[in-house]
Order: sequence, then structure tokens, then C-alpha cells
Amino acid sequence: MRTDLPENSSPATARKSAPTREQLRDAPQLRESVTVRCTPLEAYAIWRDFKKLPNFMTDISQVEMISPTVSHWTVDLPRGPKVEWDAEIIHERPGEMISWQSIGDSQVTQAGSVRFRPAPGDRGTVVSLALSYAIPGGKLVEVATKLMGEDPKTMVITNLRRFKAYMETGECPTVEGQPSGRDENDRESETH
Amino acid sequence: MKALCWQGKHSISMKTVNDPRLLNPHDAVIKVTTAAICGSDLHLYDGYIPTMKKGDIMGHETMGEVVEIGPAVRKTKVGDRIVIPFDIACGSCQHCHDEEYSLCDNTNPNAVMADKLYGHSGSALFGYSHLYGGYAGGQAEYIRVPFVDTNSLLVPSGVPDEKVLFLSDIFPTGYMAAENCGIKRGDTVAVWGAGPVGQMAIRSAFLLGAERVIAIDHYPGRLAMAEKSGAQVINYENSDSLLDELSYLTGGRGPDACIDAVGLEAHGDTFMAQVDRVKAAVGMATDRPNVLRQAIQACKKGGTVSIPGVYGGFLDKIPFGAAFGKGLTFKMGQTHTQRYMKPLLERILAEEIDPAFVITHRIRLEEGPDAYKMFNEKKDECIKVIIRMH
Repeated sequence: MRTDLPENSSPATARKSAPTREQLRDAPQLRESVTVRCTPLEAYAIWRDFKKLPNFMTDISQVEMISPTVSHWTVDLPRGPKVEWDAEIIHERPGEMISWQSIGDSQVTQAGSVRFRPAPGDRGTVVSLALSYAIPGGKLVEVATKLMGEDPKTMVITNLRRFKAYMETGECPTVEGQPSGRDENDRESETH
Repeated sequence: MKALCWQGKHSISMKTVNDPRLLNPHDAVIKVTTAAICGSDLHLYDGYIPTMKKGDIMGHETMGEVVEIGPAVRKTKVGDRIVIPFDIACGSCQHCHDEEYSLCDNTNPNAVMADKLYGHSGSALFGYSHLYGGYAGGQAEYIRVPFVDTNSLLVPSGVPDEKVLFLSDIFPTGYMAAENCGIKRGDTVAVWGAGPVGQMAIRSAFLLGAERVIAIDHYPGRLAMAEKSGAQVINYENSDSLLDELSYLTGGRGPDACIDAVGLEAHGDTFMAQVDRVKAAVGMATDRPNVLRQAIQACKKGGTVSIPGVYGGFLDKIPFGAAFGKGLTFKMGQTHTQRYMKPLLERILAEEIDPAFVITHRIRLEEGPDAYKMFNEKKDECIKVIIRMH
């Protein structure tokens, strides 16, 4: 496991075993939801295929499946430290919900759940995400957040929006790679 | 390729930039044949819309020929001549399903920014700031069009560009503004701003059965054009009291519907207009809503105020008590262009209207920077500039 953490955050204290109930009870909690034009089962099926989530949830670098219920997650954003954790599914009902908790020697301790419920009036599926995270002995997330320039809430909303776009259209919106007057090849003509 | 780029307030340059390429599976790349400068581009030019970046490619009234399509494109073919709507819609979300294309959920990559500012993000727009997605615009030799099957209108062969170009924005925008008035037999519609959108709104109001249209502006050339469309005109600079005049002309009832086709940079010589100008200049307000105030004041009890003019931020001293007291209905927003392109093409083909009547200037791309200046200063009787690209 990489340890390129900020100096003031000791990997020795940051890496501890699964969060205790007390830690998660006091941990920051995030609740966000999005409505997607698909069935609960369709949304569940795409979400449950964890290793493909980085295809559209671009903040997540990689997800490896260690066993049918245990997965290894990596977040490695350009401006932040690399962060990794293992998560285990603790409960799931196909087409309805998945809940998980980080386990073992993880840098990030978190517990979360995602629920898929039909929206009223055939308006698709409400996908609700709840996430608690705790960092035993350190403030890794806070530090990482500052480095990445995005707060966890914004990251969660962005990823939910990308999930929705991917589900509804098969792609996520982007303008990266498009031309602009900031293109380098313009330097020449600017001097004219 | 060559493109008109925003360089800062009152500064547009033609620059050499990279050619656009496909970035997503539903994209197409279009070789632009004709583009136009829109009145709402002047809001960017004047620095009224935040989140522009130096180098952004301008333009959202565009048509051309498809030269490349992505692997998920189904309907559109290489070689098709298409008109591109200014708003970018995915075609799949609930709002697109409900034909509210400019409220699309999925096309703005910077939606979180707009969520924070407005509560929810609308669709992305071509060439209209990073708040609206930061998509490169169409005042360029080529443009990338996302979800091209949704964001295109196939032009029948033999129909010249000039006849259909304005299906990209101003004709649907003027038409939706008139449609939002809910025009009934005998209705009078007052239109503030006889610029291109106002001109389209005047014609559309008549197409939708208005008995009378009153156009309000202070540029004689625009008023003459409105008169040719059958509107009664008021030059507010020659009128002692615009509101009295509107009241007199409508038997004291007020216009049944009022269209604000001016938006956030209203001129005007009232005291409040002067205050607006000062406040905007020193950053105490973002928009200058003088027309909107007049429209609310003039409108009939129970009438409709329809707002195709663009607003961006916070408005000061809006007579909301008058709006409430008279039970007014407000209809507004970016145009759901995709909803109107086909039916309005039918009207053009049936020769009910030729939107080319607003064109006053035809230029080449390199004349773009000067044209912006001319259009902004309303010199040379400038009403509508189109750019012939290749």
C-alpha cells in the first residue's frame, strides 16, 4: 500500500481496522439522491458491477473484486494523495439496495448504502446514497479534500449526476479535448 | 481551423485553434456553412454573463454539413445538411421526454456549478459560458455537436441556408415567446425590443392569431422593419409616457400579453434605468431590468408577461406587488428549440414566413470582430449579422 500521505498525517495512525460503531456514529454523514429514468433493477445492476464504476464515476480510479462481496477501491486524483480501502457488502437486496462497510487495513473507513426505489408517477428510479466516513487517528479526508479542491459532498453529487447521465444516455457530458483560443498552436498567430 | 474567440469584455478575436474531434459516442463534427451573431452574444461581449474564459469559442446559431459521426449515432449521416439548436439536449432524460429540451438534465458537465447558483442546472448551451457547460460555439469553421440525433434538424435539399439558419435560435425563441402568451382572438401583444428575437416574436404573434402587435424600441430601422411585419410601433424616445400610450392604445385595459425581448441589458431613460446602469457598473446588481418593470406595469389584469430576453442573476426593484395585484402569469426560460424546429421548418416551406427578412449584414469570419462592435453599437442599421463560413 502506498503511503504518500501529507506529512502531518501519520500512516501508522491512519491505517486501522474497521470503524467502530462509536466512530461512525460521530462521523460526517452525506445523503444525496438523484432520479434516473430507468427501472430500479437496471440502476441496481449497473451500480452493483463495481469494477465498471470508474468508467463514469471518474473520481474513482479503480475497483477490483477480491471476492463476490469484497472489493478494493482506489482513488488517485491528480492533485490529491492516492487513497485505497477494502469494502465488504454487508447487506443487499437485488433491485432494492446495497450496503457496505470498509474492512481491514484501510486508509479510509466508511460505511454506506445505496437504495433504488421507484419514483412516483412513473418518473423513474430514485437512487439515494448515504455515506458515513471516519478516519481513526487522523484527518485524512479533510486533508485530501483540501488537496483535491473538492468537498466530499460535491464529489458525491458529481458522481451521482454522472451515474444518471450514463444510465440515461450511455455517456457522460464532457468538453475535455475540444478546441479553444487557449490552444497552444495559436501562439504563432497571436504574434502577428 | 479559424474561430471567433472571446478575449475579454469588448474583445473578440479570430484565432487559429485545433479542429474539433469526436469526444463522446453520440457526437458529430459539422463543417459550418453559415453562422450568425445573436443579440444574446452581446451579453457575453459586454461582460454580463459570468464564467467566460479567455479563448472560449463564440456562437450558438449554426448550420452546416456533417463530416464525422460517433459510433452511437443512429439517424444522422455524414453529408447531411443540418441546423443545430443553440441548447444542447440529451434526448433521453425526463425533461427531454417532456420536450423541455433546454431543461435537459444531462448535458452540462458543470451542472454542479449551476445547481449552486440556480438550485438546478438547465441544459448546456453552445458557446455561452462555463456555467452553461463551456461547449465551444459555432462561429468557427467546424463544431462538435453532442447527441447529434437530438440536436439537429435535417434541411431538405435545395433550401438555402439563409431561409433555415434562424431555426437554430431566434425563430423558435420568438415563436415560443408568442406561444407563451396564450394568444386568443382579439388579443393585443406588446413586444419590447424590435431586435431579431422581437421581430420573430412579432411575426409569430400574428401567425398565432394576434389581432394587433405593438412594437417598442428606439432604433428607427428596427421599428420600420416591425411596421413592415404589420406591427404598430412606438419609439419610446419620442413618447412622453410609454405606459400612458400603451394604456391609451388598448382602451385602458393594457396589452393582453407583454413580451420582454430585451432582457438584462435594457436601455431606457427613466430614473430607474439610470440607477440600474450605475448599480450594474459598480457590481451592486447584475441585471438591468427596466423593460421587465414596464411590462409588468403595462400588462392587462390577468395577462401574461412572456420573457425570451435573457436574465442571468439578481434583479432589483421589480414591482412584484403590481404583478401580484394584477394576477399576472409569467412565462420564461431558454427556448426548447428542438420542439419547434420541425413545425417551424414546415411553416417556412409553406412560405408562411421567411426568417431571412431580419438579415442586414453578410460577412466573412475574419470580419467577425468588427461586426461584434458594429452590432453592439447598433451602427449601420445593423439588425442581424450572418457569417458565411467557407
